[in-house]
Amino acid sequence: MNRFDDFLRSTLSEIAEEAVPVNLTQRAVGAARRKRVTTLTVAGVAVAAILIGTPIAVAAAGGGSTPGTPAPSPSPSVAVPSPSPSVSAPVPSPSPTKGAPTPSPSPSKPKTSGLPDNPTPTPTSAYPSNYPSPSPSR
Amino acid sequence: MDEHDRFAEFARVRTPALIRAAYLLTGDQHAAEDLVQSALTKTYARWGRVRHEDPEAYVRTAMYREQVSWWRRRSRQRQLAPTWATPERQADPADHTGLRLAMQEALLQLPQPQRAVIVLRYYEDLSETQVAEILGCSVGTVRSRANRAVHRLRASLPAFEPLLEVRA
Repeated sequence: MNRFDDFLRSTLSEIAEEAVPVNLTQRAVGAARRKRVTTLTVAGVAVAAILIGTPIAVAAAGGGSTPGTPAPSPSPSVAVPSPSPSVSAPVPSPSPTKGAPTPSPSPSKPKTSGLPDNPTPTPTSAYPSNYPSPSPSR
Repeated sequence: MDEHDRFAEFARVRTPALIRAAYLLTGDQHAAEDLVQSALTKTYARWGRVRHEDPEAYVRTAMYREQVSWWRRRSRQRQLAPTWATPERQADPADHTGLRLAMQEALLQLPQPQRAVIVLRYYEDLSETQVAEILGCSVGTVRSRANRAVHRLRASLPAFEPLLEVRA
């Protein structure tokens, strides 16, 4: 160990003695507790957001997977006084389960001409007026 | 004595020495207090585990590593590090006080990683291996930083080299 090292050590010791010792225990404990509260709060908010957001996201995703929004009148032109109302009834059962209340007749048919398997040619606007329709088409 | 009391006792005993070391690292009383408080905060947060290991080493490691991190952030932000108490008089080559002041000034000019090594090696009297463990670097890095730091200090005191030889 040379003289320079000795001098360096003694200088460092002299400088260090200028420091004023203070009690930092309470400040450190308070800071640690505040940090812990903050961490727990942030974690709680994150968990709550996940718990609340997940069902909403799932419901939204499930509602969007149907072929179409479950419109109350999938066949507006079908609202005619046909003798078989049950068949042409628009969306008979609002099923609470997710998914569309699939009407029993051919759900793949477009709803504009949602004519079910009604054998009676219910005349719509597509039919000419002079078409002999057995059923009063109004 | 519960855990809180044990930590309080540990902090009460160790804080003065920690502040002195932090003062050497930061060059400022308030910065030293902040540094020690930050290290003690981390220690308290992990006291349940640290208490059974080596709390002294843990708090020292936290302090030194945090100081190096602070210095790197300040370097990126180009902020100047605080200085020790301004020397009241110019260094007089013929005066021990002047020599000490010159050394103080030279120490302030050291980059923080080098200053940390100097403080750990020459003030805390730790081995190269212990210093490497605290700073999270290799022994070779500690050795090279120490050599560079001493070289810079000696280069900063060329007028005092003869005095250093005489003072033996």
